[in-house]
Amino acid sequence: MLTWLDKAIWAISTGSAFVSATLLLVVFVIIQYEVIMRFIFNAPTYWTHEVSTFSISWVGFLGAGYVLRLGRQLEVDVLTMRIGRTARRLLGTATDVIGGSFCGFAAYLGYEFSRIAYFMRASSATEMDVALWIPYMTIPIGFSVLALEFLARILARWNLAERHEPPPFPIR
Amino acid sequence: MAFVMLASLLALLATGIPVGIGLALVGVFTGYLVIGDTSFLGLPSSLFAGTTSFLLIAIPLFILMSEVLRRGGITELLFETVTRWVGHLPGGLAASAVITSAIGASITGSSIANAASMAIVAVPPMLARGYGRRFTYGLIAASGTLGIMIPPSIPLLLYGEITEESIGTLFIAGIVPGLVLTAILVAYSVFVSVRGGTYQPLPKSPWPETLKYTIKSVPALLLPVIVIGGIYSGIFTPTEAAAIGVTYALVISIFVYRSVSFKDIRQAFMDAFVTSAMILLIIAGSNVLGTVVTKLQISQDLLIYVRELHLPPWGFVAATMVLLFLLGMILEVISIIYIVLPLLHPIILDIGLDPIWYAIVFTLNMEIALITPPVGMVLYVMTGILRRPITELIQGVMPFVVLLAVCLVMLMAFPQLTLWLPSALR
Repeated sequence: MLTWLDKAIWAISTGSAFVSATLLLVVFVIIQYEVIMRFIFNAPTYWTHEVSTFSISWVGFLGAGYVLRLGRQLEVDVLTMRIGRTARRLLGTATDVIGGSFCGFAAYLGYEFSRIAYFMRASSATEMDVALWIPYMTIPIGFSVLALEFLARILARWNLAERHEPPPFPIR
Repeated sequence: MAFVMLASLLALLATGIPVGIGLALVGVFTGYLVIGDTSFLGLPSSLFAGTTSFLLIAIPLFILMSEVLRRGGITELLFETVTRWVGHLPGGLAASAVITSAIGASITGSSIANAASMAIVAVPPMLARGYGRRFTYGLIAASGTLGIMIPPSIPLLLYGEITEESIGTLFIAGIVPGLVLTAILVAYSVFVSVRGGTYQPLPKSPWPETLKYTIKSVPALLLPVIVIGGIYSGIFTPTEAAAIGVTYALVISIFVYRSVSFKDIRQAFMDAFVTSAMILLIIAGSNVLGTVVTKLQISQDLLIYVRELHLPPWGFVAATMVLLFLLGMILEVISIIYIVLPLLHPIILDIGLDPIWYAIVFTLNMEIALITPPVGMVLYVMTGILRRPITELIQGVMPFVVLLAVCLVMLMAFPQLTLWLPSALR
């Protein structure tokens, strides 16, 4: 049984989702802050737009693996619902292998992309002058987690891991 | 090329791969076939660029706003209030359900959320009062779809993000068509209720009680005025308006209505987070495909093809509406927006169609998509809530699909219904 591996992946994607959700909360707070500064104190900020725009990217990619685990990634099930159990399991495994490989590949390319940005000292052409490798790191991290969750889904499909944990954040 | 790409995309999505990953895969693969290895280098930047948009932050915030209100029992309050005004009239409870859905649509950007709230709130009293089961389900599903037409609307927000049309104008353009749809749904529901004659009418609510409920609803009713008014007048950006909307929703739910707990707020936040992360992956994937579409000039090729067909503009619109209807049967709304719109929009501009009018017609088609089987997200969600077989809902919703299709033809034939309000406010 590879339950330990499934649990380890679950821990990683939950941790990643926690960071992602926290960032979403931060984004909400800083947009409110900007509105207050602009309307009440007539002192618009120079950083909120850029920080929130980079953060929303992190929200999407860091949360992706967790959302896959919850079964809330949008999937077209019009065909898969109509085929037999074995065929569904085989087709599902094939899509997981393709999806996972793609995510692994995207993570590798994303890592190279961030590395080049680091060595080139690329930064945003704004007052904040953000070193771009930092926001770019969301691609290698997010897609690595997503690739791991595809692997975990294969384990679950073939009953190689026992799953009984409820989601830590109850979702309707 | 466009047709081959679309066909391979649909085939890949049919395997059940997450839509965002499927979009990116087709983009990368097409790029590799035509350009070679170098196309891979653009993958991370395309993924990243797709999601770094200030406007997209409005999506989680609008979801959070409506989730806070939903959990705070605002839908129940609105339904109670509207029922006190119209409940005693012929087919009153059915009319009340449609009107509440329309008001609910002005505090949510999603038809699924709107229909889900209404299924919980309006279905049990309607069934208890003798309204037909199938009719009730169909009515709630169809009126729930008003969620994406009456602003705020997440599909219209995404439409504006892709086409760079003004979000304020798109939102304002949805108001009159939304009200026309509401009126038609009310008229139809009254007609069916009276003809069927199985329902028991409600007694007339005493005026003091009606007034009490109406006054209680005022804080909730002010929310769309603040959000939509703020965006259109240029006081706030859509993202800022959404953030103000969340704060306002929190303030009225916690301090005025005292109807949400910390647990409710946490769950509302997590729901907003999960839905947004799902949408953002689709946006990232579609940006990979979109980059390839631009590089290979697929839109231009498609444009030349459409020009060679010598279709009149109405012929083109009719053809795209049929295509959207068919896609709506098998795909979810956000996927359709991101697959079709980048290809269609340049053509719409080239043949001189009004992009705002087209956006509203497109949105009504997407309302139909939400209730047409086999993939009708509103049907799925309502089946889950009502615990009834989906076939019962499908049978119930069919007359409403026809009704919405008639409305679609009406909006196509009379563009002034859509364009009057934006031009009057200009």
